[in-house]
Amino acid sequence: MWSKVFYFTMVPMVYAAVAIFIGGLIFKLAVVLFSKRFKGSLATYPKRLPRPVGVAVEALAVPSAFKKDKVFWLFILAFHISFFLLFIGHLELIREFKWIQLIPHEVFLGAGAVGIVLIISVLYFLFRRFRSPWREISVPEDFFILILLFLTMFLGSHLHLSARFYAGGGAFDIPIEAYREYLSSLLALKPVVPDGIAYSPHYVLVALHIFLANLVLILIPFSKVVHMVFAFLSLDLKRK
Amino acid sequence: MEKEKIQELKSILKSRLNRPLRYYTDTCTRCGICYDSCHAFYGIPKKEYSPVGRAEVVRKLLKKYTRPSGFLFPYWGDAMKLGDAVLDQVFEAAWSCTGCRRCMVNCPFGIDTGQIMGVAKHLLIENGTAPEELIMLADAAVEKGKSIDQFKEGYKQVIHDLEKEVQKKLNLPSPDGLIPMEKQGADILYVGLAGAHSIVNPAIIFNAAKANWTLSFFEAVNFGFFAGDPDKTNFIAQRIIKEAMALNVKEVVIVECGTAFRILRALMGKLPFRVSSIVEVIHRYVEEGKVKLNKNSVSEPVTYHDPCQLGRNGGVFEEPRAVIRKIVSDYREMSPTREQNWCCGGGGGLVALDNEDFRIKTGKAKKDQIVATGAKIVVTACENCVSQLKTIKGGYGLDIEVKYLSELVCENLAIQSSE
Amino acid sequence: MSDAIKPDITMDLKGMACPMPVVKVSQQIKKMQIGQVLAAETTDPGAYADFPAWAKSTGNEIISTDKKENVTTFYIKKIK
Repeated sequence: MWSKVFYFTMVPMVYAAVAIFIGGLIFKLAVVLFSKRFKGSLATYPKRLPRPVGVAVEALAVPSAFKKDKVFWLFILAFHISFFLLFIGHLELIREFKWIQLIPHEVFLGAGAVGIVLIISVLYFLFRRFRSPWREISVPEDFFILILLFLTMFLGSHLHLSARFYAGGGAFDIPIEAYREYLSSLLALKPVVPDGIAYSPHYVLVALHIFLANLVLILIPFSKVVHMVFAFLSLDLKRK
Repeated sequence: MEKEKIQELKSILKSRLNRPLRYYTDTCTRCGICYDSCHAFYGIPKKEYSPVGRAEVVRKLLKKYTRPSGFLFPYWGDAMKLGDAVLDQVFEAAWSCTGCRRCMVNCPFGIDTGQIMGVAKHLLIENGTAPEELIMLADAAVEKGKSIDQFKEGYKQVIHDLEKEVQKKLNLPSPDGLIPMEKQGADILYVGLAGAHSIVNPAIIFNAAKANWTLSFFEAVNFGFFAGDPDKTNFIAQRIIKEAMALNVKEVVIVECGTAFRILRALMGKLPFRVSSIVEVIHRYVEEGKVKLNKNSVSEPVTYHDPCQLGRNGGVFEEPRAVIRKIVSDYREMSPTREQNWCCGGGGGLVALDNEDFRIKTGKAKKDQIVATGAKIVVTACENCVSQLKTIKGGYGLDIEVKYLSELVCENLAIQSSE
Repeated sequence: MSDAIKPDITMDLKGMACPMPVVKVSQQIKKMQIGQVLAAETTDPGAYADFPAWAKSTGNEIISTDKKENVTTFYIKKIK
C-alpha cells in the first residue's frame, strides 16, 4: 500500500503540482492583465533611477527593509538568494549543466550551506511572527507557509547532508545518479522511481520531501508567495 | 445586516478590484516593514492605525468575496464576512488615513494604502456611514457645477472687490481687470478656493509677472475624492476640465491644495492642457526674473512642510525650497524630509471632520519635527496642511507662525513703483 | 431687511482656510433645531457660490445676505 502512496507522491502528484504551478501563474497573470487598468498614475517621487532599474533595485535589494531593520533585511536577502541557489541546485539534480559547473563543485553548489541558511531564515521569519506587533498582523497563511517551507527544506537538507557525508560507506546514501535518473525520467514523461531511491531506507524521506515540495508549488500562485512575480508589477506601478 | 445591503457592498468590492488592487490584495506578505511608517500610528500606536492593519481590514473582505480561497477556506487568510462590526473597523481604518502614502514609499512592494482606503470609503458611502460633512460638501460642489450660471454674477461682483487689494499691493493705477474671469484664450486658468487669500495672493503674483491668466468659477478642492465617491470625484474634477477646455487655456494652475493638484495632475488621465501647482508657477516666474523677491528679507528661522500630495505624490520638492531660500536667510530642513516627510495628519478630508483631539494626537510626528528644527515660521503650500498645522500649533501650544508659500512670496515681493 | 433677522447663533468664519467655513456651518446646523437661523460671517468670495449651492443641496435656506465692506453675513435657516 505504502509503495503506491509513495509512487503517487513521486509521480502523478509531481505532474499535477507542476501543472497547477504553471497553469496557476499563467491564470493569475491573465486575470491581472485583463483586469481594469488604473486610469491615472500611482507614482511616488522622486524617481531617482530609470524605471526598470528602479524596479529591479527595489525588488531585489529591498532598500525599504534595509532602512527599517537591518537584521530582517539580512535574513530577507539571505533567504531569497539562497532560494535562487536552491533552484539552481535542483537543476543539477536533473542532469549536469556546464554553465553551473563553471565553478567546479560537487552537487550542490553550497555544499549544504544553502539549506542551512534557508532553514535558519525561515525559522527567523517564523519566530518573528510570534512577537508583537507581527503577531497581531499575521494570519494562518503566514504561519502555514513558513512551517511548510521549514519542513520541506529541513528534509531536503537532511537528504543532501546525509548523502554528502556518508557517501561511499553509508547505508543511507542515495547517489546523485538516482536523483538524476528519477527527475530526468519525469521530464522525459517516462517516469520511473529508480531502485536507488525505491530500495533506500530513505525512500520515505524522499517521498515526504517531494510531497511537501508539491504543496509548495501548488500554493505559490494562490498564496502571498505570488509576490515573487507580482512584486515587480506592483513596484512598476509606483514608477509609471 | 440585510441581504440586499450585503449584495450591494459585495458588488462594490468586485467593481473596485482593478489591476492595482489585485496586486495589493495578493502581494502583501504582512512583513510589517510599513508598521510604524504612519503618522497616525506614531501618535497613537495601535495596530488599527498601522498601514498593514488598515489595509488588512479591506483585504480580508476582498478575500472573502472576490477570491475562491476566501470562500473555500476563509481561515487561511482570515477572510472576514461583511457585518456591522467589520464596517466599524472599515470606518476606523478609512477615516484615520490621510492618503499621504508615506507607507507606500516604505513598502517593499509599493502597496498603495490610499487606493485600498478608497475601497473602504466607497463601502462606507454605500453603507450610509460615511462622514456626513464630506458627503454634504461633495453634493454642494456637484450642485455648484450643475447650476453655476446662477452664481456667476454674484461671484464676479465679490471678485471685483478683491481687485482693489491687488491694485493697492502693486501700486497700480486702476483695479479693473486685475482678476480677469471668463477670458477666452488665456494662457493660464487659475483655480483657487473659497478663501480670499487663495485668490488675492496668486492674483498679485500673476499681475506682477504680467501673466495672461483668468480665474476659475470653481474651487479646486474635490470633496467627492475626500468622501470617496468615484462618480462625484469625476464630476467635480470635470467642472474644471470643461471650463479649461471651453476657455481653451494652455495650462491649469492649481491653488495651494494638495488633493486638487494630484487629482488633476495624476488621476484624471491625459488632459489637453498642462496642470501645474501655483508653487511651480511661482518658481518659474522667479527663475525667469518675472517676479522679483527681496533677498534675505526674513531672518527668523523658517522650515518648509512638504504637502504629501505635492511632494511625495506630485514630485514638487525643489521648487518651493528654491523660492523660500531666496527670501529666507535661515532655512531649516525637517528631518526626515521630502518623500519621508511626516504627514501633518490633516489630509484626505480628515481636517473637515469633527475630530480635533484625534488630529492633535496624530499630529505628534509633525509637531516633533517642527520643534526639532527650532523654526519660528512653518511654510507650506496646502490649505489642508495649513488648517492642520494651526490645529497642531494650538494643541501643543507651539510658538510658530504658519504661512502659505504664496503669502510669504507676496509679503516679500520687490515691487517696482508703477511707471 | 436683514436688520430684522435675529439669528439664534452667529459664527465668525473670517479668514479660515479651506474647507472650514462650509464645514463649520454644516456641523453647527446639524446641532440646531428646525426653524432656527444661523448667521455666518465670512470674508470668502467663494462663499457667494458655495453657500447657496450648499443650501440647495442640503435643503436649507439662505434667507438673507448682508455685505458690509469685505465681510458678508449669510443668514441660514434650518428647514429640515
